[in-house]
Order: sequence, then C-alpha cells, then structure tokens
Amino acid sequence: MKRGGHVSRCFAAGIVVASSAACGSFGTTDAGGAEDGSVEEAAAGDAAASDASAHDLIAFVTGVGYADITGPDRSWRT
Amino acid sequence: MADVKCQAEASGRLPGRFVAWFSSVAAPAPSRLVDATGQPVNGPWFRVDGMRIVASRSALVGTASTPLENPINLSASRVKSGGGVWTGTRSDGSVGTLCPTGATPTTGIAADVGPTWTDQKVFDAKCGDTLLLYCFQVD
Repeated sequence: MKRGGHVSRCFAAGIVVASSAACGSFGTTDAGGAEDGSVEEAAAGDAAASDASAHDLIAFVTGVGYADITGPDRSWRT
Repeated sequence: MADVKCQAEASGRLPGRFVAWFSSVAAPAPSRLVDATGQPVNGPWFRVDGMRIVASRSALVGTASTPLENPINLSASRVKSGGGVWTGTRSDGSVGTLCPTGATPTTGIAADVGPTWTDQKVFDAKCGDTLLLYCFQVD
C-alpha cells in the first residue's frame, strides 16, 4: 500500500480511519487509484503516514468527561 | 465501564474494538492492549487525523522524555481536548493510585507527550471528578 512516499489510507466523513485492512467498510485508497469522494488519499510527504502499514491502529481521547466509571464498591472498573 | 464508554464513542465513527488506557487492581493498562484472541497488540497507534502517536506499545511506557510523538488529544469525532484523563497508570505502565483508595488518583493530561500523558503530578484529581479517557484500538 506504500508507493513512492504515498500511503493509502481510508477516510470516513473527513476522518482518517486507518489504512488498508482496518478500513473495513470505509474502503481504502491506492496510490494512483481513483477517488470517489468518500475515499481520499493521504498527502505525499506526510511524516506520520510514512510509517503507516496494514496494521494501523487508532487511539483517541474521549470527547466528553466521565465521573461514573466506578463499580458498586466505588472502585474503578475497566 | 471505561471500555464501554470508549466503544460507545467510537461507534459509528471508527471501525474496530477499543479499550480504555485504564488500570485496575487486577491489570495494568498495558496488559489490556490485547486482541480478541488475547495476543498483545503492539501498535503503532495513530490519531484520527493520521498523525502517529507512538510506534509501539513498549514506547508508551518507555523511559524516553517524550514517549509520545504526538499527544492523544483528538476525539473520535476529531474534537481537540487537552484536559485531564483517568488512567490509574504510572509512566512505567504499572498500576498507579486507583479510586477509591487513593486520595489523589493517577491521572494524565491529554495535551502532553511526556510521561505526564499518563501520570501527571500537578493537578490533584479527586475520585468524583469528571475526566476524559484514552481509548486504544486493539482489533
């Protein structure tokens, strides 16, 4: 999926979801391939994307805070 | 509880399974980064904008002055946040101070790339506070 410094990635609603296999129903792009509007290709020279692979994973911080993460005994629950 | 909240925020926005970077007495956060078969997930992890956060799981809790390449400060819907984060996890990946036993539970700062991303020592959070959660994709 990596060609000439380009990395194929998949996007959904403007959000980079992941690359290749992890894209699932969001679809993927391939360098030089067609774009259909819902799928875009990452920009060339993107330092972060240069290391992307078929196993990209996402991490995020929640958009809202939580106070109720405790169990019945009020200890934290994973 | 924390994992459910992560999955709920990812739902409809991001594919895959997410768990919280959150320690319990039974399991430090790094040990919870496993796939559905129980195999460790080693990253790398990226933000939703494509910027790499960290190259590997070990780097998350490494001794580097900046374990993270970019802060985990974007939500699943791409909202930027720099607030406090529940982690219960020290910078070496071990279990920190947990609620309700700790008067000052271990928390992190979402804007940070240093060890304070998971264990900041400035803001004295209390167990009843409302803080964020880090969510990591594992499948």
